[in-house]
Amino acid sequence: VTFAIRATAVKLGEREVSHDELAAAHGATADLVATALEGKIVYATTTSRIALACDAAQQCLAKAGITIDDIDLLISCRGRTPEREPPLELALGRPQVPSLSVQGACPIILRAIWLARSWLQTEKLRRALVVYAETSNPNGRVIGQLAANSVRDIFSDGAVAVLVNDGPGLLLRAFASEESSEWWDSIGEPSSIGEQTELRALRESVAVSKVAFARCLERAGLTSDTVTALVMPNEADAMLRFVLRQLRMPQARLFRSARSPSRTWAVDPIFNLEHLLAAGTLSPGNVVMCGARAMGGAAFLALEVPSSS
Amino acid sequence: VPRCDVTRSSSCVYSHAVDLKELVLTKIRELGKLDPDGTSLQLDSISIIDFVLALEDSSGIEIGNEHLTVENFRSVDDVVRLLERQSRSS
Repeated sequence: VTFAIRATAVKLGEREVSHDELAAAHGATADLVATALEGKIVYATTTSRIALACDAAQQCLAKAGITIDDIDLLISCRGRTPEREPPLELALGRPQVPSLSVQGACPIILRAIWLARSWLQTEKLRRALVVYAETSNPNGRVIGQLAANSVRDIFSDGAVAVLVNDGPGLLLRAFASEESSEWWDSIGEPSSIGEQTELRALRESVAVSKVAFARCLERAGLTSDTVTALVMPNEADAMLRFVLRQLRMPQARLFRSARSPSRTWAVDPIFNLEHLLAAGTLSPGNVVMCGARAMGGAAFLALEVPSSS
Repeated sequence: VPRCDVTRSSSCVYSHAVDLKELVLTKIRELGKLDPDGTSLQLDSISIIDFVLALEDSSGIEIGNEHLTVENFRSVDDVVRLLERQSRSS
């Protein structure tokens, strides 16, 4: 039995947050916000995290031509913000569906997809729906400080849903992740990032990406030469170029949707993956590496286009 | 100053070092991150990536993630020494 990603869906907050608004929330200038964002568009929702999650979930199920009643397992993921809303299974109208909730930085979405695959395999289940959703208040959108010489990453409200099944789709070949406990130990609260720890954090974040990437290739029995395409979060161009260079991946193999102004590091990879598949440039046997990074961790999924699609 | 291939022989070390200093000065000025004293660098964790990519592209010397330390990027001379070390080890 092979396991595959059968459908995906992305739902973003419906409102763009202006640079002025972010600046006001963080006591910074709009110029500094623009520099930090480098063209990134931040989306906010007027609804709720669970509403975004439900929208993404329903879209994903509709794409696959099934309903929530056909799901054997629901995995609900979120970032590090505390949960104040009802469980997703309740909001989706199926409170009794076997479900679990996982929490972590952005790479958690890829970990959860692999977790779904493992559960399907172990429990002889057929379909799992993985949903990640995140919302922030204006003060919670920034990691680091919106000040000169500081790390800053600004996130959108968004959700992504991924249907994993034992049927057709993009084959799940391998997964690997790496976390840096040293990174978290070193920074404490994000606002304490200073010059020394900031560079150390940057080194650590790239280092864990290299480890996760290499391990994922190894587990899939692949080399980087055999990777057809790579999808990643939409970081600043320079950072992406640097990471790719460290992974020894040619920049030409990175796929970024033209409709993909950066939003969140959990949503971006799946959004880019959707658009890569829609572009129709992949062939049977092609391998796509799907990566997600956070400041202190990274994860990669190795995916293969099946011979029948 | 004549340019020197980074895979040069040892006879080229002097001109190579001078070349590297010119290169570092050129790239840091392009980024606008040279202190008024003409030797200290004003890099943050974002501009340091731009700087490293520019240096790697221009020199062909790989700097590597593990060398992104404050000690290696305090001054023009720090960066020149780093490039020299990396050049020798490649």
